[in-house]
Amino acid sequence: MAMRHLITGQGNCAPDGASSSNPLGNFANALLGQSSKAQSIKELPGAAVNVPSTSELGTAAPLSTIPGSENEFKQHQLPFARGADFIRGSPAEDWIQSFRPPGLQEFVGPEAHFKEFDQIYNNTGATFGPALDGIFVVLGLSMTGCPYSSLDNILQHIIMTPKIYPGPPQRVLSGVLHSFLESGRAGVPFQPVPVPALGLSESDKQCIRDRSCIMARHILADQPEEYIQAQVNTLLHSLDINSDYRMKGPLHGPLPEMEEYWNQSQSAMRSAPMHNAADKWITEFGQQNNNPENWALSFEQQYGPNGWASEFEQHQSQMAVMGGSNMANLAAMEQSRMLAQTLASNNDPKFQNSKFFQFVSKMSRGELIIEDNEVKQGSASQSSGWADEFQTQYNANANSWADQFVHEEISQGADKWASEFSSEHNQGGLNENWIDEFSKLHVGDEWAEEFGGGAFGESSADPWVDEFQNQLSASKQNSGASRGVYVFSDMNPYVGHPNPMQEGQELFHKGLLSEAVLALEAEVLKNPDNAEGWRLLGITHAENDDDQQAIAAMMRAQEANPTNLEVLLALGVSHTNGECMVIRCPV
Amino acid sequence: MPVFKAPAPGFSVRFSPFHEQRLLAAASQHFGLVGNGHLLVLDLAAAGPGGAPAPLFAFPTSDALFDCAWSESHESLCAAASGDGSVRLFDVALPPAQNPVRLFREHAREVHGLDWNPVRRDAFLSASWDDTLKLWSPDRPASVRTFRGHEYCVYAAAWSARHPDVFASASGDRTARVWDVREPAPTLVIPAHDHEVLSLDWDKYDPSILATGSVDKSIRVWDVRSPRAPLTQLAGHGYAVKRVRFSPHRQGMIMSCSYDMTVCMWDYRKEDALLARYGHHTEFVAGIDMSVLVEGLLASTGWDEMIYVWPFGSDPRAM
Repeated sequence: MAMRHLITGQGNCAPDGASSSNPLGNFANALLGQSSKAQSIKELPGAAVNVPSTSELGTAAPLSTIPGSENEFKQHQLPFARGADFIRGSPAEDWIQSFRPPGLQEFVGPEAHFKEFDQIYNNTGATFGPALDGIFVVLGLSMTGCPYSSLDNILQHIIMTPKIYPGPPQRVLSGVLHSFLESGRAGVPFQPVPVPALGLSESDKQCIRDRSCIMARHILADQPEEYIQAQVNTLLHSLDINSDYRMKGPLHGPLPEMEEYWNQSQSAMRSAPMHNAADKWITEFGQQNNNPENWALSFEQQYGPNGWASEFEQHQSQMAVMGGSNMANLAAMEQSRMLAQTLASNNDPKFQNSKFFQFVSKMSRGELIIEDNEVKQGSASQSSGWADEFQTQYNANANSWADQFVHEEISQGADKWASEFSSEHNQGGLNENWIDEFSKLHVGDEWAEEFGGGAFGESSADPWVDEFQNQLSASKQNSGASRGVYVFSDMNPYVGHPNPMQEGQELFHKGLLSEAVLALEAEVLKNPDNAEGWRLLGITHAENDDDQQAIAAMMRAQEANPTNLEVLLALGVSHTNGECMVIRCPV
Repeated sequence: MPVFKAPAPGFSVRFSPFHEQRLLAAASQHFGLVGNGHLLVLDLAAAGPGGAPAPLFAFPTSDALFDCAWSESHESLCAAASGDGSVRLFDVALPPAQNPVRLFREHAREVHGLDWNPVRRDAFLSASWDDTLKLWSPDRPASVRTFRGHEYCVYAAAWSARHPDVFASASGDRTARVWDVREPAPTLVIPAHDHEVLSLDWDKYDPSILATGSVDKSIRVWDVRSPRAPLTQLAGHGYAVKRVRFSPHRQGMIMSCSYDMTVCMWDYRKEDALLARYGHHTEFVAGIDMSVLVEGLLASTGWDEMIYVWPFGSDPRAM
């Protein structure tokens, strides 16, 4: 029978192995208020609660409710001594006595302390799920001649519960965990579903964090570490758990003293008979590493080391900030080792990983068709909250962008478009010459329409190309905050985010491109000179087939860091994609 | 064929060494990630065709339970390994009000494995994610020994079936280590797998043989006299191998369970080692045991909250 049923009084509470009355149920009913949130540890007076750093005990138990007999589970305090009397008379006492180490005194006089507990309990007025376990433990400890002669030590070992959830949040928690498992098994990235507040205490969250990390590594053994981390982070985010790294990292790389063992055993292994299944698995894995890369994924790879390097630095600084407990240091060591290894070797599994994300993101993008500046909903998305999220976000973004274009579309004639264009981008001192030159070219409405269609016009007009370049350099000479032609989204939810850069990177990895765009925009709003941020923003836009924004962002990246070759390459690629002019390449 | 429904995802089952019909099970809410645990004692004889009978003993605990073990010396004493780092001893003959009878809290992290010494019967081991193992005796308040040497979470410990002071441990640092309780450092370090080793067990008939199960989906059988290479490798699971057990009745027979939701029976001495595969669970299978008292009787539990007991060769779901 589930503890939750006990506590919430649901169903029929047949007590386990006890009499036919329902003492536990009554107890639960008496105790349980409507507050189901577990609360933080209360400092008990005079009790040094020695909490292990990584697995905290729960909250203070209402010790006043120690049951003196097995049948009376009342809210009112029962003196501890009564319980002792009860046990003393029973035949079980003999067996228990046999456990008692010689020379240990009985427990007397804990009542005084319990009165304090009563006070606490009454004063707070808070109702917790009963710490049944804690109560029993106290009894058990005392009865069995617990070696701890001081009450403090007893209290140390009292188990403070409750991690007991009422109905709906618990079902939600189970559901979330269940779907996490399913996704892990199916090899599909876990899709975060918004979850109502579960009221998880900090220790609960840490528990979930630590254990899910370890268990995820068991389930997702084939996947690279970053995929596993991403999945776990998704799970934690959906449960609203901070995924600050305080978990035990995996142990990567053979231990130094094992090198010899490894080599010998590996060579011996090859000669040992291996069953087919193992072979297949290994060769499959090897094959996936040999797939040809296309240019889009070369981005991932190029981005990969950089991205990981910056994440690595971030982790390093995070870890430096954290306190110097042994566990944290060990974890930090392992994490850095893991990241270093990833940096060094792991392009291919990441490739496999990112291909999947590409696929997923393309799939969802395919559901949104932009036709003639209108965003049309594709066919119903596969039931996934994530795709819906993506859609709504995309709609929000695309709408603003498309609306801007609609506005511009309406304008008749190229110069009007150009002036709108210029005014929109705060050019300030934009060359009038340029506009004039522009209108001289007989591009006209068609060109504007083509532009509105999202593609740049054919770059057949060289004078225009030159003028554009001039304009480019002119705009570069303009100092000021808003250079380039990048259009920021309004209503950016990430603007207040503490670390939008990392957020953007994670989202990018996950394939949530328009989310990543928002996060990265928040980052570059915060740090306009963050070349990496601009560059990633550009790549994300390129992934989204938004070459104009991609180019704009890349240009900003280039301004921020003119020596970055990848930026230049990306610029070239985007421009090629957009079928517009080829920029000069100062390489 | 008794089938039980546990109150939460099952993590471990053990047959009682004293009662043929008794089974101990550990279950944890929310797949052990958070929430309560349950320790159950089930009576196989009580399971009729009409549905799941009430357990003989059921005890909820404040944190998840990852493993359980019967005492080899007291028929009603059992131990449970808890996620909050404690090891709890329960006496199932006592009413719940008097349980647990012991609480050992020394590990800094989750205790993931327990094993009771079948030869000496007076001591048991706990394996914890804090990289250590501890030796305990029920009548001592603190651990007798702490064994350090692993570099990562220790997932399982197993006493040798023959030598009273020898045991082995499986760890996430990809090694299996063989220890002697009289020495603080491991006697032997076996670089068992390329990935975390989740479980191991000794051959009951050959004291130098042990099997390890790993996240790399394979089971390797080792001879401790030549630990450089395994005797053989058993592949066939689709996901990480969670537990391995040697049969107490047939030499060379291994039972294993895995995250691929199946239970497999192997004979490692044969060329075609896989003897049987049971796919009765609908979630990860986390706990298995083979009865010492009844030859061929198997039990398994998984995260689908089901506990199955069936004789080898038959269908676990047959009623």
